[in-house]
Amino acid sequence: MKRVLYFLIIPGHLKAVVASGILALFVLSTSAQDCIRGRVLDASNGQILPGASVNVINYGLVSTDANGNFKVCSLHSDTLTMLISFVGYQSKEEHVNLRQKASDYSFSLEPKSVLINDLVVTATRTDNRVLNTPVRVNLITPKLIESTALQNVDDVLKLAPGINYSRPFGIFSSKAIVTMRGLSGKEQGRVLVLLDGVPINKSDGGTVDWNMVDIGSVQKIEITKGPGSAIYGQNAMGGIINIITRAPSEAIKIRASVEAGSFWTFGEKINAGGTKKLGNSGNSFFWVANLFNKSSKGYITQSPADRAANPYIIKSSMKEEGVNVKAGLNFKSGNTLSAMVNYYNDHRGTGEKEFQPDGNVTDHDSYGMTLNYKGNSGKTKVNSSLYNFTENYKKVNEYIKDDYTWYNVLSVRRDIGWNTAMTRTYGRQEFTGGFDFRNGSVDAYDKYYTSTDIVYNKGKMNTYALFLQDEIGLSEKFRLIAGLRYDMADFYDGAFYITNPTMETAFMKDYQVPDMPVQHWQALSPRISLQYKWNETDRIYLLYSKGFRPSVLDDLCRSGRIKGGFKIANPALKPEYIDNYEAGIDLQAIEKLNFSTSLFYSPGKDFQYYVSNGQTIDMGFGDRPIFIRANISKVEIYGIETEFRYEASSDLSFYANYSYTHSLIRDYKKIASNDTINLSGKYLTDVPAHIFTAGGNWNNKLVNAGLAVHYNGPMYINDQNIKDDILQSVQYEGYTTVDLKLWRVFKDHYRLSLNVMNLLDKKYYDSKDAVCPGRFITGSFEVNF
Amino acid sequence: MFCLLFRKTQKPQSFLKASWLSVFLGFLIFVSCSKETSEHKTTLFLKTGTGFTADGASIPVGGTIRIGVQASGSGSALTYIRIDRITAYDTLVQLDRGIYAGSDGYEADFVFSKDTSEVETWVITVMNADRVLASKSLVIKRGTGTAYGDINYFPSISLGMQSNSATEQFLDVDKGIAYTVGNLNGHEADIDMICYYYITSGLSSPTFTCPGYTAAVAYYPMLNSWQTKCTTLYDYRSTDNNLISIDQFDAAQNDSLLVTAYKPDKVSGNCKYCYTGKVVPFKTQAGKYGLIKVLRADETETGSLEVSVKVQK
Repeated sequence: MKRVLYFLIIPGHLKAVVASGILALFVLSTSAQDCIRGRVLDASNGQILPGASVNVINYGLVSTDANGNFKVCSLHSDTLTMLISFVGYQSKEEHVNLRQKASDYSFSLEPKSVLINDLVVTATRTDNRVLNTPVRVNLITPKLIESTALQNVDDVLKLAPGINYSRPFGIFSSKAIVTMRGLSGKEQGRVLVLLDGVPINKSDGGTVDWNMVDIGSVQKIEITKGPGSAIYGQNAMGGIINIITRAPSEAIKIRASVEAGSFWTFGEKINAGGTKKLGNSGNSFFWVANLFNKSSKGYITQSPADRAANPYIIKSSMKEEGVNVKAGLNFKSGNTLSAMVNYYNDHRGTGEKEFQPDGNVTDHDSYGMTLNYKGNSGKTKVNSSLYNFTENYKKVNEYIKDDYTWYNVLSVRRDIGWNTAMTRTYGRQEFTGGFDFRNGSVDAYDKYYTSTDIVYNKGKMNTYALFLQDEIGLSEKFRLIAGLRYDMADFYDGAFYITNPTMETAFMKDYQVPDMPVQHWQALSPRISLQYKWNETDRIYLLYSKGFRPSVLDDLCRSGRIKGGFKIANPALKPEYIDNYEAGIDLQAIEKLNFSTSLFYSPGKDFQYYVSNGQTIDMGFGDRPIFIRANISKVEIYGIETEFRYEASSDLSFYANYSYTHSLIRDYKKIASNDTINLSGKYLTDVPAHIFTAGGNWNNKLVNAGLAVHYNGPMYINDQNIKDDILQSVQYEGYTTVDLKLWRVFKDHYRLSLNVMNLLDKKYYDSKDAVCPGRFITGSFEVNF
Repeated sequence: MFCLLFRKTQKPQSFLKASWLSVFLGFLIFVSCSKETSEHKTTLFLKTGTGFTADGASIPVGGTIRIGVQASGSGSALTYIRIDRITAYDTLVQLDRGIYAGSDGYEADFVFSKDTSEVETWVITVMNADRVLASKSLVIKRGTGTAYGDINYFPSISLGMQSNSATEQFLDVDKGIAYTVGNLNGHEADIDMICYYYITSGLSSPTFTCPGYTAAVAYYPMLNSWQTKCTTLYDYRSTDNNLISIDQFDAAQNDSLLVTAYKPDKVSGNCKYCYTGKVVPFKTQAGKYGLIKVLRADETETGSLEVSVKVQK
């Protein structure tokens, strides 16, 4: 400070000299750097990219070395324009200022949207190229996620071929269901969903809380079609969806965004992450933190008839918040130890309010912890995960019919497990083996406040499994995969009982089982597949695989009301099975145009269906049939999925896919002689025979755009394929939605987006004649730094 | 946040202060997170005096038992009331009702009929939203003789379905008078019955309902604006299973059959499948028992029902 004062009081000519000197020193100190150094990485997984091109405009072109590093010298300017490119990745233009930094530049390239040779991990639990895996795998790429108008992670899945997707109320739905391969869209349990390789279907009902996965944290999604029980066991009947979260590739990266939209929807989101080298050891530490919240005042979902009949109807609203933190250590070249913690809470009003502060609401408090080790032990690759997911589910129910009824459902659903896979290569063979353990439990009760009843149900299931798989490169062109998995499970501590029953639940008294017998079951799941690949883009494959879904705890240990009657718990319920015979082909007919198609035939047996036990029960409004979930149906499913992808350039691409499925009950076995229902020859409910999707994305200097058109064909509403009382129709009407996303990046750091879902405002309805939100528009502003 | 706090307080004294502060904050968090365990008491009083049945009273068969209830959740809403009649042989639930009564508390009178048991204990139970119960009981003995009462008989009343406004649609069963929308004004609080037609569970259903049944507004939207909406309860089990025959209905000269036909454990404000020839036991909000004989039931929304009604005077 004193020096500044002296400078201000020295004579004028001397001031000029001193000023000139300072200026000279400043210029000297900031003169151009000679060299720029850095490296190029894959943005999807942080891996280095050897051989990538780095073109420093006006100074020449270099390639990255084996470690992904580059260096360009003899520079005469502080500001440089660089063009970074690599085969299979989107080229990137960067402007750098050497005054600020001369080394340690890190450039991440996004994979192109059509990457038939991208690495996938789900199909075999090993790293494999898509076309080296004789299984149908669909990739939801970062590019597709970026260019799709969506609110939830499951929204983007409907763009993949043959995906049967249900989220009837958009962000106001407390659950979404994503199935495939002709299996009913009423239940999630027939498709396995993984989060970074860890199963997130709950043992209680097979459900997945899609809302808890922040789309901002997702890097890509792998969809493996057809049964995958040979490698993953339970739930993998129709396929496997593996959501893979982002891994940081830069020292620090923060994205923060705000959004606002239809129905007074507001949200904020922060996605941050970074890596730090630990000395010169080659080890590094990385971290990721994702935070999000959203709220909306909502809309009235109920049908006009319900609105007329019920003066207590209000808007279905929502608010949610979530945190996901992941941290890990990369050590000893190729070993990674990471831990992830999730928290999610939501509060969704279901559109009716009598006396409770928020009316009828569902509330999830979910906690998850995952510990993962991925690395090498000698020549053996190891991938092992420990996980613990707990969901505290609360539902407030209140309604007035003859009198006021208010009860709360409180359910603690927990899944704890340990998955381990080890892979070792011997010549042309790659063996993968391992074990999985899982403990699922539910401890739930319905507590009434307008009577003294409390209805309890609880149960636990342990599943143990061993699996072995051999991937054999028979020759340059033939590849065979054979695998077998053995699962065994125990159901125990099951109970269903009522305390202080009144007329509200007295009808259930005869079905109390306070101490259910222990049950055992086992499943053997083989898979064998062979492919012939005659060049890098073309192949055919043949596949046989078997899948199963275990009985869920909710069916094993809970009795209660269901639509059309009353269901009683069936602790003896066994798994259901499906065999799958499949053939597929991938072709690149002309350059940049990729075509793929799969044909499948999937007979199922022991399918779990509600079947009348021949008795009736009066639940307070007349006699209704009693159902029990039983292994009574054989089903026949066959279909075709076909897809075209055309990548005109790195900035312009198109896709179209179509699927047809035929899903029929072949043999329905009654368990009561007076059961008048015969489902043989009936179609499975909630399965569209036809699904069509087409879209494209275009990146340009003005505004980037992504457009998707999705057609969901008609679906049968009820098991008997008869006219539904509420909808007065045999089938749900087919419908088409159009989604549009526009976005633009400003000054590298700012992004403005407009999401328009259901652009044409098509109204479609669920089984209760409740209507979808129609057109849903949000705008968001994002800052990257 | 706590890490930041410690980083900025490096001196020992500051560290001590920070420690105390964090202990204090921790205490506050602990206190704020501790579960609220206090429960509100439920209070219950039975009305006494003229018109209300006293403990130990002797009432002849068919005589009226009138129980008046005053209850409060004492700061928590009152949500449940139940009345059981316990005899030496069985327990019959006479009333099992979810309610929502806030700070004003709950007050209601209930009317029942004495049956043939020698001694019966009536237990009245209320519960608040904290699930705290309160109970009172009355012992009632059988008096001498019988006290079956007179009835009103309305041999033919026509009621229009929801889309038949040309016919009277709103029935005051006590007086046997039916009203149209046009002449209803001022009589809303007297209406006990209305009817409509729909298809449910795949079956055609001429249906009796009442203004107090929530879903009735779907067919009669004007109910939304009514200040008083009476609830009539129909014994749907007797109706579904034809437990009362037309001959029994025709033979009834006093309220004996009306009282005994109505079983309170399977009742609703909505009674489906009321086809021609059905006999429907009911109880009005005012506590009067009755029987409806369906003389004719059209199975269209524009049709009508023709009924005979016998109801306690």
